[in-house]
Formats: sequence, C-alpha cells, structure tokens
Amino acid sequence: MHELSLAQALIETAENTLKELPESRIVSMTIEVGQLAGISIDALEFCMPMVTKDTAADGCTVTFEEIPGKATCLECSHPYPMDDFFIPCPACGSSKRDILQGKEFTLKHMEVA
Amino acid sequence: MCKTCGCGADHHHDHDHDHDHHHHHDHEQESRTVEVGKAVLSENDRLAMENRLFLDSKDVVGLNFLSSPGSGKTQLLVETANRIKDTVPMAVLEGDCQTDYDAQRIAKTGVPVHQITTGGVCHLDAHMVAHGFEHIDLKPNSLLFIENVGNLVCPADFLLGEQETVVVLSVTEGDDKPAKYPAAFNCASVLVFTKLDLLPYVDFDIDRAIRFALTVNPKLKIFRTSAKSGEGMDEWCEWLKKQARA
Repeated sequence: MHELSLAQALIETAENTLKELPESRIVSMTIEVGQLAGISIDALEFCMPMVTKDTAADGCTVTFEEIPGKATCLECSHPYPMDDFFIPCPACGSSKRDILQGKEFTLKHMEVA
Repeated sequence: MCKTCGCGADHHHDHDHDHDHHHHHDHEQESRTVEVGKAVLSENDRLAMENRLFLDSKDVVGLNFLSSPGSGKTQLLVETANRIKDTVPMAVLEGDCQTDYDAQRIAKTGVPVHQITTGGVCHLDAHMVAHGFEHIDLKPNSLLFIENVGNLVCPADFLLGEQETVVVLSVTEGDDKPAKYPAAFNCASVLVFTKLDLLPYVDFDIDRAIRFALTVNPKLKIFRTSAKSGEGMDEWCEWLKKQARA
C-alpha cells in the first residue's frame, strides 16, 4: 500500500522533530494533505495505528486537513481551483498551468508532552 | 555508517535519542502544541538533492524511469544501450522488488549495472539510490538510467535526484492510463511510448493517450518507440545523446 510508506515517513518526521524537544511523547498530530497529492486520507488513517505502535506517537490522535488544489493559467493568468488534473482553465480552456497549491503532504503541528 | 545520510549499515531507522518509547506515563503531563510545518518527505527530498549535487559534480545526467510492470522499460534500456553505449558512457541502476533478472539482461550489453532489490518496497527512494551510487563507476559526461520498480503510484512521490523523469507507457496497456495515474504523468518530463510494433493488433488509441497525458502535463516531451522494430529509437537516442554533457 502506497500510504504505508508515507505513514512511515510521517512517523520518522515526527520522531525526528521530537528529538529536538525536551518532551518525550507525541499526543496528537495535524497533517496537511493536498487534493492533488495522490494520497488517500482514509488509507493513511488506516495505516497510522500500525506505524505508531511502540513509537513515541503510540496512541496519538491524528487530524488530517485537506488542502484544496489551486492553479494559475499560463495562457491567460486566470487563477482557478483545481481538484483534479483534468480541470482546464475555466476562463480560456487551456491546460497549461502552474499548480500553486494542492500537492502538500506536511506535518503541520503536533502536541507533545 | 553511510556517508550520505549517516545511517547505520543497512538499517536507517536508528536514532540516538535516549527517551524510552515504551515509557508509560502514569501521571497527567502538561502538553503543548509545537508548529512543525515540515514536508513529510523532506528527508527523502534532502537526500535527493544530495544525489543531484553528486550527479552534477560528476557531470552525470540521471534519468528516472517510471511505468507499470511489464511496459518494456528494461527492453527499452537494453536496446538503447546497444545503440549508444559506444558513443555515450552510460550506467544503469535497476530497481526491483525481487531478483536481479533485469540487471542480468542489462549486463549482457556490457554496460555497468547494479541491481537494487527493494525486498518488497514498491518504489526506489533517494536513500537506496545514494547507496546504489557506491556500486557503479559513474564516468564524466555519462548518462545514468535508473529503472524504478514497476509501479505508477508510489515512485511519483519519491524524488531520486534525477535530472529527467521518464514515464514509459506501452501500447498493450490502456490508453487512459495518463488519466488514471495522473501524478506519475504530472511529475515526468518525458513520455516514451513502447511496443509501437504491436499497435496494429491492439485497441490502443495513441492520440487519445497523448491528449490525456498533455492535459495532465502539457510540458511532456513525447517519443514513440519500438525496441523490437527499431521504430523511433533513432530520435530517442539522439535526444539522449544531447542530454549527456559534452
């Protein structure tokens, strides 16, 4: 499962962050997942208990925040929301764009004790 | 100890902090929230950047090949090696879950090759590739072909440090694959169609596949090839030669 590798990377990121802190336990984590990141939040949620078991994040609460996709048209500079890769510019119909937002997979913040 | 990442031998999950993971708190501790704002794959991205700097320092151009299993990546590389190995120095890193069969096929061309066996992991990551560098002699101004594990989902998330990302699509697959796996086509810079010799026998609509691919990623450079008949191989190999730094 794709999300299992990602969940493991998430725990490594969280534990590496914890190393820099005086606390020893992760109570909760908030994760940002972009709409265009190709990550299933449901699948990620499913993997979390497996990857946190026997770590400093064992039993922690995980909250996911979905970040909407946004693009700017490279033909007419129109900014537009983009929730999948097949949405052309609503102003001119072009698919040439810069994706500004929506590919995130970020550990936003965590509660430690 | 790994020079690239500081990992211990073949296990990179070691950490040297002294807190006890199994410690159970039997008293209420005050908690606080800390802002992190760190990309989860930032460690892979950091190693990928180191790989890129390493390749740049040796004037090597790396190409990461992504595709479904069975698209003909290895055959494309074998035929490419046979055509350009005498004019452009090249090397291959082969990624597979199990076996070194693909590396054996490449080795027959005389091109240096190292097999990375992921042991079931469905993609290569920058750390595996950094260790792969230790096993091949990278000549100046050469091309390094990195054949990822056959999978159109996970490899799209893991940068390896390559200069070009090549997505390979064979005409025996569905022509709607770019629509079904947009992340892989979006992250690539080059699309190579393979098995063009089979086009008369299958229902693959190549124009439809190109339309889908360009909608997902209008910047894709596209090649149509058959390693069997040689169709399109000259154009593909000419482009590769231009990528190698003279």
